[in-house]
Amino acid sequence: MDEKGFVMGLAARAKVLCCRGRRNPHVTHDGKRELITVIKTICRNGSVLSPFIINKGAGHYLGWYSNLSEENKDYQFSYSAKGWTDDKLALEWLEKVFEPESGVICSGQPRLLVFDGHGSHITYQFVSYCLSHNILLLCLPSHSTHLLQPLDVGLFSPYQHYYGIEVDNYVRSGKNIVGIKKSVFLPFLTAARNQTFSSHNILQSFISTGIWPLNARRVLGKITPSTTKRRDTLGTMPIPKSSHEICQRVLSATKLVDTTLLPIHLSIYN
Amino acid sequence: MKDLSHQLQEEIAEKEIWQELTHKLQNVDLIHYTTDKRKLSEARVLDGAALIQLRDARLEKNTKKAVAGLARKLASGVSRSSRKVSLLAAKSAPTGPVGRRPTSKNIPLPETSQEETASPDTLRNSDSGSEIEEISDTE
Repeated sequence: MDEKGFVMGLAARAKVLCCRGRRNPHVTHDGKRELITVIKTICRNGSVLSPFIINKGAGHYLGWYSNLSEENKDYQFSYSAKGWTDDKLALEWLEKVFEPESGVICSGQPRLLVFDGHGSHITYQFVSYCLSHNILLLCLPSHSTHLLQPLDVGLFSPYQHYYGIEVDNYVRSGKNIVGIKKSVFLPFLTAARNQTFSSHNILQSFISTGIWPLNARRVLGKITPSTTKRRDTLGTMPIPKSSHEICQRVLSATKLVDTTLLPIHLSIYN
Repeated sequence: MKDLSHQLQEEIAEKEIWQELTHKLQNVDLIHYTTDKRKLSEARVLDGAALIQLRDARLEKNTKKAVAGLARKLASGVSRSSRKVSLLAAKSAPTGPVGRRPTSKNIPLPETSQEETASPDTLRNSDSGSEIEEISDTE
């Protein structure tokens, strides 16, 4: 599972066709920067759980759901002051989306929940609920979700892209008189979801992160040792400028270690 | 002693039920309508089906309200116009049928035009203006 923030008025990169020689061709887009958070969950069998949508507001309003259709029946909707998730909403997601839906898929067997180290996932209530409902937890190491989180690796990028295309089409159709509102956000999100979360894409993202089938080399092969900075215990080591300087440094280092372990070509300097 | 233990057991059972009830009540979502802000619900999390129900109920309520308002307006408009008509009729009654004019609200009134009231002889006289002129010429 992971959270994804959508900036409502942000469209995909637009291509503008214009007459040759025209300067500064442009398309006017909606500049709304309101954030809506969507909590998404994918399963190893290629299925996707219902999204948990967090709007910015102080309650559920009539205008937000004017385009709500039968297709969105299973979606869960919530709100928060800033449109972000919090501890309570994470627990609500667990209770109303993950536990019932994954329980049907796994038919009573233990489930593994892979998540990042966001503060809302590591609360007493969250963990105790998981333990009491046969849910095993795996928290990914920090700064590694770009390699290990299947949603981040393979799905959120096309999800954002397709959403941007929907916004772009809407703006170009000339219907964007009052701006991108929450009522039109939902159909865009549904369209982007249908295009992104295919079974093939989900399975591929699990494969590319090496989670299923388990393959550590998938990730380890992507990690390259950094060569720009060389550090020793005393700090940054400056790059030697001559061979003599190299030899001097090696000799100074050998004084700290056992000389018998040195190779023959270095022992002559000793 | 037996009675006391039995009473104690009953009290414990009641307390447990009470705790369960309070726990359940805490989880009940508070859904209330505020018409001014058009807020559907203050429940923190709702699923799509519940929101569709709430939305449809609200829209139905709004349409009913609008229809009732329109009906009320229409009824008040009709009564006002009928009152106007009666007032006009009362005013025009001594002047006779010539003073009556159709109102601007297109309310069907019993038409009593000159054509109906005038006798065929007078009509013939009016049509035969040329004849009168001819007579005067001859005179």
